[in-house]
Amino acid sequence: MLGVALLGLAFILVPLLATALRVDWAHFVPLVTDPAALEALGLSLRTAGLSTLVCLLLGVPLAAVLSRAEFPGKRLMRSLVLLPLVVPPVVGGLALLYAFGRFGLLGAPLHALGVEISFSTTAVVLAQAFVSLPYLVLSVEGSLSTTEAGYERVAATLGASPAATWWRVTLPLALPGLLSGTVLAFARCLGEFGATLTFAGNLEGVTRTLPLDIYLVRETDPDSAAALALLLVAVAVLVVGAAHGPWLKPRIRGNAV
Amino acid sequence: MSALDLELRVPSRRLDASLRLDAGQTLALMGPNGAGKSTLAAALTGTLPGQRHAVQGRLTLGDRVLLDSVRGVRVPTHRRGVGLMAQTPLLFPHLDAVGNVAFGRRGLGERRTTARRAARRWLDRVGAGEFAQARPWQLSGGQAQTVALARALAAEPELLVLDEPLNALDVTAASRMRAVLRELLADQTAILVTHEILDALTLADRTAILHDGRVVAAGPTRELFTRPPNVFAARLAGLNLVQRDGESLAFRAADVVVSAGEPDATAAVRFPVRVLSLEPRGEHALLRGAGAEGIAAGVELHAEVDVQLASGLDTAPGAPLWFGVPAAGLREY
Repeated sequence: MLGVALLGLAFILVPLLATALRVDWAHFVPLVTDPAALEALGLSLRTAGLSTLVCLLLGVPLAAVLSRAEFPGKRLMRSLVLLPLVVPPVVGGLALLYAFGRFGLLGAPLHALGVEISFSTTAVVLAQAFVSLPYLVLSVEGSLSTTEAGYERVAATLGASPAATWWRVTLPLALPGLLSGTVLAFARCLGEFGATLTFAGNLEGVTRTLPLDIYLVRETDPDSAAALALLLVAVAVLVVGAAHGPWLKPRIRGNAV
Repeated sequence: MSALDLELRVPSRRLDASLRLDAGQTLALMGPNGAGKSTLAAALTGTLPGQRHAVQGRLTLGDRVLLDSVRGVRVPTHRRGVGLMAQTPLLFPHLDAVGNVAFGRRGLGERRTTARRAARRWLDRVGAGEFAQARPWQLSGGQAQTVALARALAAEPELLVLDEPLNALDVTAASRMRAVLRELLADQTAILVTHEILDALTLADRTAILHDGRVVAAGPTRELFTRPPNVFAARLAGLNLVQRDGESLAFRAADVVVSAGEPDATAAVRFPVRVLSLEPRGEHALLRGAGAEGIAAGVELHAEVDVQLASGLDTAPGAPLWFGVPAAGLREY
């Protein structure tokens, strides 16, 4: 059992180690501080941040409805929300193109109004939010579902309106799930490739995020690709570290009755 | 202060109860499990889960109509002014004790510091001042429950519903809590759901007994249990009950005369019994016996006997004895 577990760990670590070994360390700093690379990293961080915000704005209400409301078709709704998780990102990108592209379902009327979405930074944000939303919804919904509904009932008997109860009881109790969901969604946004390439294209400074940049330079400048890949791994490690940091551990526990 | 007047029906749970309560009084709601006590409590606070439209009838608190199903009035829980203290404290785990107690004050529109100051006063009043900074998981069951009481009272409810608040506590914690409740419920309009006659006698001015969703007896607590008006009250009061010709004979353990041979004519009724156990209660002892034959066959009967007298009788389990009750000690329903 332990042997297989170690094998599993090695399966994940060996490629990462290989990346680190492949890096031309003598030129690491100049490679990752190359203006094009920095621009790609900056774009990645900015779009991932915005996309995470979109996920929060859309995902938290979704999670709240899925965990608290009772209505027919709820299971179907949950399955639909999880769809981007299993649909290949390229397909997601195509779907977004059919919806928001210049000749798309919503894109055509928007184009008539002078609003252009596809192949813009906005498209990057939409692509990232599309694939990351399920991570946030799953995490927040799980956190809300394990919260005892009795707390909300008590809050109501103490005179708290449903809105006040949401802000002062429900949300604080779901905070661990909310934070880890946010971090996961951010990480997924940061790594987004397929949907972005399909829907937003690969325009330097506009839609070329770090993963796209790595893919591009891989052909022409393998050393640079390895260095940037390692940079992305480092950012991911930071993000995952944040998601599992001690501050998310059970600060909130059940009542010792 | 307000008076409570209710006439509530919850058809899905077969509850159909009418009650009145004067301002500042405490009403004990008693009855066997499944009688509808907790359903009625939840109907008062408006927290019957998933059954919002199942409650019918009328509920007024002071001059406010909280529920009138005919006119379509249904005040939501947070605007009822009906507080709740449940079996489990359900303290908010993300807040310390003061934060929990201040929760309802913030709802009254108080600023954070004012609310916390008021919360500390309430914690002191329930004797939990020393736990002010404690997180819920650091408190024992009894401590948490006192904080929950402070939290419910601090929101200044017009009516406080206490749903078996001592149920989850050990004997010592329950005794302390009873003392705190006795003091704090003095001027508070309150409904106390309980299955302990002791709680009713120490805490409640009036008692109502629910059976199968209906109020079968109601009145001043002491009166209800010293002269039980019917078999339901008699059973709760711990009286011996024996069926005879379709009516119930009730008598106190203290009124039972125990003898080795058949009692003489001073006993209006007499039952041959077999001893189950003899339990010391200070100068007296509780003699538990099972009716051996006749109308009391198989019924468990209790007799309070003098220790001196008990020592002169064969009280080994299974030993045959007679229980006799004089006419003055008998009640018939």
